[in-house]
Amino acid sequence: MKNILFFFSVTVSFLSCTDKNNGLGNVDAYVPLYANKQDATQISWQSPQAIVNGGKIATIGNRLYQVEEDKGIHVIDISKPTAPVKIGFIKNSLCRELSLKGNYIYTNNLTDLVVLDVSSTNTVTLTSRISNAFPDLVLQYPPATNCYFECADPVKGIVIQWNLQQVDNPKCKR
Amino acid sequence: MKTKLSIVLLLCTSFFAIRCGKDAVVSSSTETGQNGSLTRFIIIGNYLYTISNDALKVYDITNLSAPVYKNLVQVGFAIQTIFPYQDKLFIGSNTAMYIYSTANPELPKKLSEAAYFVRGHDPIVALDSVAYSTVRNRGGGGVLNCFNIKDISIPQNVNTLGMANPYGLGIKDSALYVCEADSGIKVFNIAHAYTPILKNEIKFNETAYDVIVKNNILVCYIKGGVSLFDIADIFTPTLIATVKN
Repeated sequence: MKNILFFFSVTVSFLSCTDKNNGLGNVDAYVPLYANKQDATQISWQSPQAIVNGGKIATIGNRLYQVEEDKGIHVIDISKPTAPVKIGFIKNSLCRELSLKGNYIYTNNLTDLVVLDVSSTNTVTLTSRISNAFPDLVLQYPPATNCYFECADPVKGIVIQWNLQQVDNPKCKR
Repeated sequence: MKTKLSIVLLLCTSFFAIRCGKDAVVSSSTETGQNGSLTRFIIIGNYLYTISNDALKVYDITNLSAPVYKNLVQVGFAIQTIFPYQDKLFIGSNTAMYIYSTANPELPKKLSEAAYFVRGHDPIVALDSVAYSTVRNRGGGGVLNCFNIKDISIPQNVNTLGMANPYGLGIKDSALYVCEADSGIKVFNIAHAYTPILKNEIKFNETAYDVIVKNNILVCYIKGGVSLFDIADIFTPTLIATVKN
């Protein structure tokens, strides 16, 4: 119970938007990048991509998968461990987690649980989607604390990324 | 005492034939994959377990392509990681380690919990009668905790070792690998389970976050990619490849 109260008090004190930051001038602030839901729920196989913010890993058979945080999943062939080869990239918005069984990847797309069939090379097929299984994974706030940001506006779409840039009098702080 | 069980073998305890076939292009149809210790999704047998900030969710994946939601179990606060061992789930939060039984796989039941003395992120691995957990302090530094879990209802923190910047960890036979970010990977001899002895420090100019032990290969999640080590000699990981950019 104490924990819950503490959580709420922290949330309220740190995450609430405020209009009291007038007169800041141009400062560094996080700005949300929006996508429409149709694009953000599209999962597709692409050619190998650069690993930028590589995330969690999982292995099965001769394959190694690495999350590209919030962007998708790198597919790496490790049949020759001394010479691993990136063979593709699965575009998957807000990807954070994955687990594997048989020919399937269990992962999150936005806040949904999705199942991806990767039995054939160069193809990914969505076989199941359970909506809002992981409400925690919404990108409502920037990936930092003690920072200014533009409040996310749901009317503009789904936040798929936060970019740090110069903003005149940002309205929000956490 | 210390057997040849490894995280790989833990998964073999599910009742499925596992073919880690060198010739398989992708995988056999029911092979369960391996996750790193930082994961929030795990699979045991026909069930997918996922953790949110405060709860565990259970999905039946008997039909692999179409999970069926079964249950939500409230666990605690600030949950970080989940680790499967035999029919147990080890769940790490910022403040405690929780152990659940999956005797009823659709509705895991809490067996016990052990509070930490410091707050931080805390992946866990377990083997026989011991569980290891790293706890990383927000301000830097951290510890490796050793829990005696002979009596699963009363896990006891029997040893605590200071660490530089600990993240994920993994076990092969009597070797424990602990990722230490910029400080590389530390290798401990855990032949005496409750008194890990530092055997080796692998610095390889990468920031190491997590590992998966895959037979004789240690797959390491590094900043900006992955590195692979040969661990035929378990205490002497040899870097064989890195994928970055």
